[in-house]
Amino acid sequence: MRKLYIGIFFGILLTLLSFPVVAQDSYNESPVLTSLVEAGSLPPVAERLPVTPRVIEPVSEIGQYGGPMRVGFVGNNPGWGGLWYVTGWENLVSWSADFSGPVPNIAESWEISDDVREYTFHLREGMRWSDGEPFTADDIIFYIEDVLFNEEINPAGPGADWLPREGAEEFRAEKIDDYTVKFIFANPYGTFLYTIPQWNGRHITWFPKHYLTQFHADYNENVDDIVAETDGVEDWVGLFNLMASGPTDDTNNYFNNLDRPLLFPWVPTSILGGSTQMTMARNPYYWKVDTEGNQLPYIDEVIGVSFQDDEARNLALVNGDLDYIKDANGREFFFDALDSGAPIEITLTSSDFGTTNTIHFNLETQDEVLREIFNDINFRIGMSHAINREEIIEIVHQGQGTPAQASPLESSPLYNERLATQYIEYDVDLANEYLDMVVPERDGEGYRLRSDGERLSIVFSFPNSESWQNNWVNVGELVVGYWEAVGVEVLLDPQSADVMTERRENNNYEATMYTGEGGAGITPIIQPRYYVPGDFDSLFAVSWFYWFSDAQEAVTVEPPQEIQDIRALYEAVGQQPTLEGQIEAMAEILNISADNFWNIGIARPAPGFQPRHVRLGNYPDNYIKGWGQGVEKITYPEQWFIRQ
Amino acid sequence: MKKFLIRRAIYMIITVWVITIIAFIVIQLPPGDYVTSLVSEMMAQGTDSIDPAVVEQLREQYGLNDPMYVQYFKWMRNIILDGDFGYSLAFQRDAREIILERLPLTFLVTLSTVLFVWLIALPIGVYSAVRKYSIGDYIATFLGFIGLATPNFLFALILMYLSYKYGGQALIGLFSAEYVDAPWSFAKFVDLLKHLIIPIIIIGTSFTAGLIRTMRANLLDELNRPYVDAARAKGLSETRLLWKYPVRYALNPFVSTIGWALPGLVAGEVIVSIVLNLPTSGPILFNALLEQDMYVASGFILVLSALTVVGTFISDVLLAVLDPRIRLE
Repeated sequence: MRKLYIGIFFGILLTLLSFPVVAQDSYNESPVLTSLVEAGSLPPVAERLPVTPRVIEPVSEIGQYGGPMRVGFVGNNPGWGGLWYVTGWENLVSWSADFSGPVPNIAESWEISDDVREYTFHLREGMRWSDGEPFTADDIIFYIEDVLFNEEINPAGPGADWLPREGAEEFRAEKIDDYTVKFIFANPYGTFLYTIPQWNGRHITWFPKHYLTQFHADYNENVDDIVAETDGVEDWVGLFNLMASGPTDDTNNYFNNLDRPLLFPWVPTSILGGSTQMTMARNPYYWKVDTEGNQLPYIDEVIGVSFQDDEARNLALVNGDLDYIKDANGREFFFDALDSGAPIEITLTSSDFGTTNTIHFNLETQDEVLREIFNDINFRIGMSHAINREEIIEIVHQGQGTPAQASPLESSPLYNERLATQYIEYDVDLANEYLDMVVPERDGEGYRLRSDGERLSIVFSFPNSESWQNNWVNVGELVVGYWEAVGVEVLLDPQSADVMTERRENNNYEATMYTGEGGAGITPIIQPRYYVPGDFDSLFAVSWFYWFSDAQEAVTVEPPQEIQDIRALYEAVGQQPTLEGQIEAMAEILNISADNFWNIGIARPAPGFQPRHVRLGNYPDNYIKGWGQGVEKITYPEQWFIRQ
Repeated sequence: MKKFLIRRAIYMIITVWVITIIAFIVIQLPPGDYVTSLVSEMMAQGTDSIDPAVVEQLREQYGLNDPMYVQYFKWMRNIILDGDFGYSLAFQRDAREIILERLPLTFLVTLSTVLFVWLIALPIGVYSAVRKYSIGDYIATFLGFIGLATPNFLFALILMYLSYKYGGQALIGLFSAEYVDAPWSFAKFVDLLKHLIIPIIIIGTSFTAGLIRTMRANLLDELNRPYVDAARAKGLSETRLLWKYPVRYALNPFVSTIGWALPGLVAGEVIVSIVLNLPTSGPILFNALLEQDMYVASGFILVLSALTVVGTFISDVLLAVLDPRIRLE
């Protein structure tokens, strides 16, 4: 038995011991549901809950039933706008609230084989979909066999973001009994349990077989009749994707389908149509309770309010018309409002970033001369020394944070001092010294010349979208000035997100700026984008990612053998059976990453801020907020409540 | 007259047809398509892995891999044969439903704004012409120009802030939260009127200045005509004279621009609606263009252009009927 498994086993044991064991008949439910039970339209609470519901310890107190909770989002997509992270995102396992590791969620326990190839998950007996139908191993097997391995739905073969590409074909899932399912991977897969609490794990428990078989050609021979009368689909695969909101369709399309059974705390009851609101109601079959046996969620109803503009949404929140918004912009506005007595509270969140942003020179850029310059590490070192990070921190980040390259945080077991601090001093002379090794010649105006005699001029393109809560344009303007001081002409080219997406796919950018994930805890292993080549956001050569993933429509460039070897080393990290082994293997890669210095970082991230209505209870004082943590899901929104 | 009507009707059809082509093509000119926009949105949220195979399949599923002319002909065929405007990729619903849901409130806002503008601008225009260069003329003109010069969105933000600061509630949207999804009732209607004031004032003020000046200039032309002197010489009272003859002539330009009011107001309404969060067509059209949700965007542009063309037609006919001086040949 491996250490990880022992740890998790004791974790479960401790969890079980620390909570009072709730007797089956002592469950409580929301008064809203009690009246339905009394009217005979709903079974009693004990029959709706699984034999062993997941017990959630409330953040500060046992909540009150009631609502509604009003969530404001910008745009027309309630899911992406914020509700997916609050009302959805339930996977087989989830993160513990302190991000210390995976804990049982839909699965109540699991066993892992010694070679970390086989994972046996025990599901919760008596657990149900939101329409009251049982959730069993059949639903998972349906996904694996009839969706993942269906040649029409996945013509390129089984592919899913939780399934390693290598050996995907040989992956198998076995139903042991109704509540036990076994995953058998072709290769050791030691990071599987860190992968599935994330976005990547959403599909495993996403497909209600009893509902979806009617849209599946293998189960319904008359499926074409439904295709014919459904708008916007041309074949059964399109229909299936639409009705299931997956596997290739946008997951958040489920907000447009009120019939679809879910495992989430709230289910949509109206869609965002002609009005500016949509509503969600509590799932009467939700399978979690608090420590006193009250069925969760506490909040009976969720109202999603669509805004077209951030300012109006901000104003509505400080006015008390909303309870929660995701991705609030305007730190000063909210702190001012707090000071002047607006009914809000602000939680400072910890970022999972290692650096505020990363600057990448495209090592496979189309211009050959530029490519040669970018590939010289001395050029990148020189450009890094030219940056006055203290000034950026002072001007753009309100004085918060310290200079740092893209690297794991000091608190992470993967902290690598060299990676964090190399080439970080602001030193114009040193910068010039390094740059002189690569591009020594200068023209009359003091700009450096390329080997072909033209002025070295680099186009610096990055997304200008506000939704990243960033100040990239401000950072970009400053950085361009620092580089000019060392004779490198850089043209600022902020673009819309769409244009940047297009440029990525066409390998059509010279230098770019992006986020800084990979700081907190073990996130460097699960989000290695800035430490390992060939990841989706490894922007120092995104064409390598497209090569590794065998893309058909994007521009692909085969990476040099040494890069392929480094990628293989990373793949091997996931095959390590123990967390210690994974950390050790990843630490070695971080050394290689430091040797290569693929991208330039700016500063450690300052705490983020998350405003909310003061009446929203059980919201943590601090938490690690990031995509890998499920954004808001790590705070367990099902135990939030509205103070009456 | 009959010949005139037929000729104009044919022109109208051709115009609308050309507009459909332009609408459909222009919308697809920016790089990428709806899937690009979806991927960008997912990335903006932090998604760290999007399988290229999934992206390719989405394009296939949404029919974005067809050449543009094939997409256009499919779209036109469905509109003409079934009245089907296509499918909204962003909403995963029938584009027609989305357009129809938004039109009533859009017309409500637009029509009340037109009425507001006319009620304000016409009397002021007449006053400024009759009392040319008086203090009142200067004040009215000055206020009109301020309204014209203030950016709508700024005005909207200021009014929103004032209503929050001093009125106790930010008048965002067209309904209070409790009425948004409620069935129609008198209370909901009153609530709507309360919220309608701000957008009407904001959109209206930017149009009043233009109308005041037009009315003033037209009327000044008319007031010096000999028929005015003749009427006055025959002893007609000043008020009666003014309203009966010169004002009627001066109204001609108003009638002929009824058709333009619609697109102008809808365009002016977009930003205000975004800022004030109004459930009108402006924000939907704007987002559809941003997200490259082409069927919704093209559908809206088609409907609005068709209405504009019809509006112009009606105003031309009205003009011909009202003003005997206008000849049809």
